Amino acid sequence: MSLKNNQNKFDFVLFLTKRLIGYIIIIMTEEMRNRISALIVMIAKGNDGAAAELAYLVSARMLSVARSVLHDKAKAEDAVQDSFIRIFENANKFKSGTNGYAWICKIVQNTALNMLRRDRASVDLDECFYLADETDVASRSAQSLAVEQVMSVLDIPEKRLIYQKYFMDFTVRDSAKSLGLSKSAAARKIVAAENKMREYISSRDKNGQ
Amino acid sequence: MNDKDKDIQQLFDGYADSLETRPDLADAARDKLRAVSPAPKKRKTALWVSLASVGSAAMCALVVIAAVNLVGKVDNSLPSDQSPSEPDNPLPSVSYTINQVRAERVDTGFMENYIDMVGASAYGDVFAENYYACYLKDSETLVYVKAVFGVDTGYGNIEMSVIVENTGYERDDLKSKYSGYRKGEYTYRTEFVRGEYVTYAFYSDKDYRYYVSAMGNVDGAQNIARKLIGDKK
Repeated sequence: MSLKNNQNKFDFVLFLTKRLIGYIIIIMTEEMRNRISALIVMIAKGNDGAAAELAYLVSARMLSVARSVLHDKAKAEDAVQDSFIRIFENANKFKSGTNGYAWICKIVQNTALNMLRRDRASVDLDECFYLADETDVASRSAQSLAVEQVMSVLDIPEKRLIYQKYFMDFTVRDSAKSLGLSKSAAARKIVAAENKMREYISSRDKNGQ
Repeated sequence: MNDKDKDIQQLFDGYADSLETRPDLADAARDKLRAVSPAPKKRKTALWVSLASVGSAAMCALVVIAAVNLVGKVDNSLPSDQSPSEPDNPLPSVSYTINQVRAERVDTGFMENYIDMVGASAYGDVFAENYYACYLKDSETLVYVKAVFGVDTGYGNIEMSVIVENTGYERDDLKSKYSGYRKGEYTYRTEFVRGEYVTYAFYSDKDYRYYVSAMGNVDGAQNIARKLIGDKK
C-alpha cells in the first residue's frame, strides 16, 4: 500500500515537474479521447479557445500521421495545416460520442493520401522509416527508433495496421476500409503482426538488449 | 480492436510522448474559424423598447459629448505626436525598448483615464491591482501606462495585464508580439500556453494602442478585454 502511495507521489511530482518546464505528457487516455471529442463539438460552435487546445493536444500526432504517409516533413506540415481547416469546417458533422481522435487521424491520413495522389509522387516504403522521413538515425528520438526496431519484423501492410491500431486508434473496420481489406482479413493480419512483435520483444528481453 | 497489447501500446505511447507539439500548424485554420464565427443573435425588440432605445441613445449622445470634452482635458497628461486635425497617415512611431523605461506607481483614478476599470469590476472582484505610469528615462516622456490585476469571476481567477501606449512611441517587444493585429479594429486571439488559456487582445485608435493579455477562463477573459478596450470602438 505504501509502495503504491509512493508511486502515486512520484507520478504526481513527475507530472508537476514536467508541467513546470512546459512539457505535458499527452498520452491517449480515455479522458483525453473524451476531451478531444468535446473540443470538436465546441469548435463547431465557433469556440476559438477549443481550437487552440485541440491544436495543442493533437498537432504532434497529426504530424506523425501525415509523415507516415508522405515521408516528407514540409509536405506533412502542409497536410496538417489543410487537415486543421477540414476539421474545423466539418466539426459540425462530427457525431458526438464517437472517437474524435480517430476521426481526426482519418482526416489527416486522407488529406495526406490526396496530396500524394495529386503530386503523383511515389514513395518506396521499403527505403523509408515508417515513423519519420529522416534517414539519419542520429536525428531521431530514441522512442521512435524503439518502435521502428520492433516494427522491423513486420511487412508494410502489417506496419500500417499496427500503427493504425496503436497510434491512430482505428477500429478493425476503419483499418479494413482504409487498406481495402475484408474485416476478417484485417483482423487476422493484426493478430499475426502482434504475435511477431511480442515474439521479438520477448527474445530481445531474454537477450538483455 | 479494443484488446490492445500493453507492451506494444507502451512503445507507441513513448513515441507519441517524444513528438514535438506544433499548435502553430492550426493558425491558418483558426483565422478562418474566427472569420466565420457567427455573430451573437440579436433579440427581437418590441416597439416600445425601440422608442425607449432611441430616447436613451439621445441621452447617451449628450453624455458622450460631455465625456469627450472631459477626456480631452485629461488626455493632455499623455502627449501625442498628432493633433486631432492630422490626416490618418501618422508619422512613424519612435521605437524604444523596455530597458529605456522607468515605471512609477499610480492610483486607480489615474488609470481610469485610459481604461474602464469600473467596467472590469462588473465581471467580479478586482484584486492585487497595480498600476504604473512608464516614462522614457532620457526625456521623461510618458510613453505608456500599465495595469496588472486579477479578477475573481466566481468561476476562477483571471490574471489581466493591460498596456495603453502613446501611438507616437512603440515598444519593440510589443510591436513584434502583436504584429498580426489589425490597426483600428478590435482583435483578439486565444492561445493554449503550457496548460493555460491566454487571451491576447489589441485595439488602436488615433492616440493610443491597447494591449491586453489575460490568463484564465476564456469567455471571462474575452468579456473583460472587450469591456476594457473593445468598447472604445
